[in-house]
Amino acid sequence: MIDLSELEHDTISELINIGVGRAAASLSEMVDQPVELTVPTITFVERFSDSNLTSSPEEVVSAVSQTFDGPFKGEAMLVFPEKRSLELVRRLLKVDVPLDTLTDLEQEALMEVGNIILNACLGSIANVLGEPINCSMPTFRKRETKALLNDEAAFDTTSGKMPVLMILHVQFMLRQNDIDGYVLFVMDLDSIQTLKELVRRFLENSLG
Amino acid sequence: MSQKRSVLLVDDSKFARLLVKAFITSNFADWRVDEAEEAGKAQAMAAKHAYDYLVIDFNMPGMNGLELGEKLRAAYPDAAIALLTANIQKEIQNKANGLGMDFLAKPPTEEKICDYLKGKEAGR
Repeated sequence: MIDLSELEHDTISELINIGVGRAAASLSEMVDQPVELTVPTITFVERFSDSNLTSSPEEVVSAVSQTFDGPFKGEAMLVFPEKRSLELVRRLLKVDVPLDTLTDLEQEALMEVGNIILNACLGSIANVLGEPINCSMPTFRKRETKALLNDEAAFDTTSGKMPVLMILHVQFMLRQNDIDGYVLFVMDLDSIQTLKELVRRFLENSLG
Repeated sequence: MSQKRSVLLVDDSKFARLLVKAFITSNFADWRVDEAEEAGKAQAMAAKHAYDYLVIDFNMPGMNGLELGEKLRAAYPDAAIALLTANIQKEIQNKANGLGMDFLAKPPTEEKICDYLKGKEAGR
């Protein structure tokens, strides 16, 4: 579907690693504990519902999403199970607050965490490639995994072509609190080609 | 004994303001810490009170933190102005420094905020 050489595939994984690494360092600072990361996986799918992320399609998740725009564009998302999100908020707040205040603050806190994590991720990728990326304001959604991305909205009716989505997935874990979640990048075909081109140039410059 | 100072936090995130305010007040108990959730309100507040510190988020609805920082820098040359943002791109850091603003990368931690303020106080 998309032809990536092994080196290009590796480089994109490494870029995401750098970005998510920086994001994990930020999260770790916020919660005062180590954050473990999995190796990023890259998959290409036509519909979000085809991705293996929807293995528990009915699970309700909290997600913070930011669209990004620059040489390549797409959507970045921080996702974690809804049932653990209050626990995460409790860890993030250094000050003790009553439960109803905690619930009030939940969405605010998760949005700000998403903002920090996704910016850390995209910002460090932008810094490596030397290409500025603009991020939108974060938005919050709480819904079933299968409905996280709207497949219909992604379908380009003018060309009649099915979009190709590149899904970059990294899982993170806070073992002390049994909290896990993942970061997701979704890009369409044009953006994937641009990213591929930037990666090719970056490799040329780096390898001489 | 440190002097009583005043700080204006400008951030659209209530959560971010709550954290930073808690960090400042637990270390500088007698300082005044005010909050604004957007640039217009921040400008109105700064016109009424001469803040020693202005700590500004970058990504806000309406005017962004660099645009606001530029205006406040021109209006209040003696204030210390810092951009506190999750946007760690070099371009943003360079722009902030070019406008005479300090750059603080989010997440805000107690250590980061207090080290910054203590460093600034030592230089005053």
